[in-house]
Amino acid sequence: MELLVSQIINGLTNTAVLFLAASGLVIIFGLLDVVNMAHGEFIMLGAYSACVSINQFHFPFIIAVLTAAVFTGIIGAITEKFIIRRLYGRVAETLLATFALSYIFQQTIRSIFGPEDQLMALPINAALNMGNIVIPIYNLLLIVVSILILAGTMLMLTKTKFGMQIRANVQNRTMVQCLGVDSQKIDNITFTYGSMLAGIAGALIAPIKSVTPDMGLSYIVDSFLVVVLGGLNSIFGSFLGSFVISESSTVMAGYMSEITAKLLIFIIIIIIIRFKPQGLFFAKDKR
Amino acid sequence: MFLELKNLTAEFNGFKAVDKINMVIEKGETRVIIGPNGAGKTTVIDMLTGKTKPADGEILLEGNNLAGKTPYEISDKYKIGRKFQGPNVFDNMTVYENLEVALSGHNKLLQTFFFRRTSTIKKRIYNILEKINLVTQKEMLPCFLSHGQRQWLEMGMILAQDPDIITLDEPAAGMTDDETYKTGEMIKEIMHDKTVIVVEHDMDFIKQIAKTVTVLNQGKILAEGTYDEISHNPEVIKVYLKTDDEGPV
Amino acid sequence: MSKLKNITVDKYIALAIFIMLLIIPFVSSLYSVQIFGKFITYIILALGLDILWGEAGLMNLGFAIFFGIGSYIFGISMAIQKGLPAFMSFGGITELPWFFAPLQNPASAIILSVAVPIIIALLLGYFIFKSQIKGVFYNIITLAFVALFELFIVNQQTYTGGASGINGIATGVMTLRLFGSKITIIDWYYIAFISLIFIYLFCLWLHKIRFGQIIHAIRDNEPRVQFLSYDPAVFKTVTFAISAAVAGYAGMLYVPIASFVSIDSSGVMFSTMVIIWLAVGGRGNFTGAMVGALLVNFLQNTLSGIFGGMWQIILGICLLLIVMLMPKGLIGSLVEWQYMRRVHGSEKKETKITNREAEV
Ligand SMILES: Nc1ncnc2c1ncn2[C@@H]1O[C@H](COP(=O)(O)OP(=O)(O)O)[C@@H](O)[C@H]1O
Ligand SMILES: [Mg+2]
Repeated sequence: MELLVSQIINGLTNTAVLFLAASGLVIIFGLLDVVNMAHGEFIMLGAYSACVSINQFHFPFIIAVLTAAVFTGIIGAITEKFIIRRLYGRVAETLLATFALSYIFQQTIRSIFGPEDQLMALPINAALNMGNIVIPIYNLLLIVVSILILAGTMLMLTKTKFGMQIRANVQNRTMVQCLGVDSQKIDNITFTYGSMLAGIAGALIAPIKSVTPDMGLSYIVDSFLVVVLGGLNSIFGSFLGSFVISESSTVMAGYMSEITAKLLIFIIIIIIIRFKPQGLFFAKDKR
Repeated sequence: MFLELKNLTAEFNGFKAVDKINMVIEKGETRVIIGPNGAGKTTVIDMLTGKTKPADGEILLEGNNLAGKTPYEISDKYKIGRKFQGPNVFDNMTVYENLEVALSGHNKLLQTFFFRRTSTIKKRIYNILEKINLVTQKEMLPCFLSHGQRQWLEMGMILAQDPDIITLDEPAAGMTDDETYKTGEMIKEIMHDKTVIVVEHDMDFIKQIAKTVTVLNQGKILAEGTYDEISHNPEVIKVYLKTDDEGPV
Repeated sequence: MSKLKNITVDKYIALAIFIMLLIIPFVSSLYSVQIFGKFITYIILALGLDILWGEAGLMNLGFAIFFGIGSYIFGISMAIQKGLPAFMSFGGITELPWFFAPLQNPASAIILSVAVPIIIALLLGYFIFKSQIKGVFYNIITLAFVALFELFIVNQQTYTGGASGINGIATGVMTLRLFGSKITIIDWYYIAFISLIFIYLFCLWLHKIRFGQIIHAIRDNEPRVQFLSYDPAVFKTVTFAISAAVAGYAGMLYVPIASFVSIDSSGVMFSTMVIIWLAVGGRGNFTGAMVGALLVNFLQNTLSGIFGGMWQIILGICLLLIVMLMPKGLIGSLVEWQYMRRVHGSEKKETKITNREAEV
């Protein structure tokens, strides 16, 4: 029983991590129709940026997170302007180009920092003790931040004028342009926002996960599973997707090896989409 | 009864594009469906050919319900062929190859490995090329054809496919008067032994080919009858024929 | 005469590659023979992906998985020829697990190295394509699949040698006999070479027959094909299986030539490389796949010594530039250029370049 409870709480932490990792991908995917194969590398860049901020410059953690967001945001803006913008609507080329980009980012980081794990101290060491169950405060922080990002993004998209413009831009580009909105600029900002989320995710997970040049891969695969399960243009769906995947893999991992759990989940997801090709939650369509 | 639509309904996000329509089509009949833009004509064809799943109702073909079956099954097992609104052909293949791909009787997996261009097959395709007036264009890519010729190519693909029921979604759209007339003759001549369902706008064209016309408006059947009955029905004139001047495409 | 003139430039390049590969053992060291032998297996692998990606438009981000399965099956078979290999006994097992028993016979291992990829591809393909999973979602699943395969191999140390791979293959390979005599590395080279020629011809055949036509039609306009009595899912699944068989066979050939199997030649990174080869060379004419595989690997072999880690960054930038500026790849662009010259030369007709890659 105690194992189960602590596994569920672990699962919540993992939900937070997974959702953080997936959110940027979902935004770029859902709003721009672009599959960013380099998304995992944006997370990786965010993590490295945070490590450098803290280990080299001894910034406080919050500044390190913001720096990571700005850093990946700038790279995202540049990427959109010079690469993605030329490839909208061309799925194969977008995939290949961002793929090349992921390769470049990875190799660049590897040649600067080497292949080894970067260490980063936990910014908050305190923990909650409840009987035999120990919950690190940092894990709670992750959960809170991911909920804030979920709520903030949803509010931004539905309640602000800018969010309206973004959504209108998705639905009817020509119309939006006729209304005098610069839709290229909106694309750029959307991509930048998605990249910033990736950077924040990277910085936040750096203290608890290993930081290596190829760390992006595992996040992008998991994020994609989230998208498959949660539907592609629903940020709330991806939150639920993260929850289902993390909870089940964490709970299952208590009883079997992590890899077996992952394999099992992968198989289950494939079977689910066999019978429910629209994704489990809220997917509108699946190209 | 050959083909019967019973309470057929299509829904898109709560909007009923086709609302409980009932229709009976006899074997060998040529039926024209008309109606203003957005009336739901294409959606009816979509449901008939498996592209759209009906929200409700039945499509009975000799007693078998086709509602919700896949396009593959409907074209393969129930032999319903389709011409899309706006020509939909394979742009990277020559006219000849387009017809060859559509050719019936060689569609099973293994057959596609052992298919040979025998003289019978060549003759069959040549025949079709003659009927659709594209003999000299047979080695061309569709992008070199005129719009009308592309429509004909797709009609040719249906002939090659050789279905029992042919659905034609606006086969004369975007054609010159001359081409439209030729298309009408084509339909009359080569499809005389088939059941044909045609969606069209052009009144002269309808007069040329149809015995029975069904008028659709806002997802419902407004009237059904011969061309003369329909063209004198005041309600039809009100919703449809009057607006024809604006030239729905 | 006019027939000869109609042969496209890619065929000549393919011929040149074959002639070059034919004479390499006569003019170079045994070491180079081994290197180019590996390249030949890579070229076959690239052809396998071109069947899937070029012909059917189904890019696969985890294609090396089938190469990996083929090479692990034959590699384990070779490693167990002389009793239990070290990585298994370190793992604490004392006798061969039952599921490896069929691998004791090299002939059955060879068959399995092709059959298992086919079966996996059929199962996976059936699920993916029957579920109408298309486009990006299909790509994602292929990526997830290879990532999990990699995790699985690395974790099952006892059965797969884990991260360090399978050693002791060479001694097993030594025991093999063909017509009663030992098979040298030169022999393996030519076995691979002849296989390559047959597979290339097979690809050209596949491209030409009705099956090929149908998968092109599906690639370019799948919605239309459905209404013509074809089940696209069946055709895609079979294409998937054919390409997996080719990849598994290439993986099997890789084992005696490289004498080593590890995740480096079957995991995510290697899958990435296969994609890069085809992106560089171009898809859909088979020569592009061969040129891409040969060129990138040759450059990697010569340049990685000079540039070290920088090489990979250079490769990434080259890939990016090719994707942006020459989306059809080197050979694809060449073929197109030749085509345009012919069309303009003979008819002076406006040519619309149709996009051959409707869907990935
Ligand atoms: N896939 C779809 N999603 C949402 N609405 C659709 C879809 N297809 C058709 N509609 C709507 O259904 C109505 C009927 O469309 P359609 O059958 O194409 O009309 P017609 O062919 O008679 O011009 C239209 O209002 C159209 O907007
Ligand atoms: Mg219509």
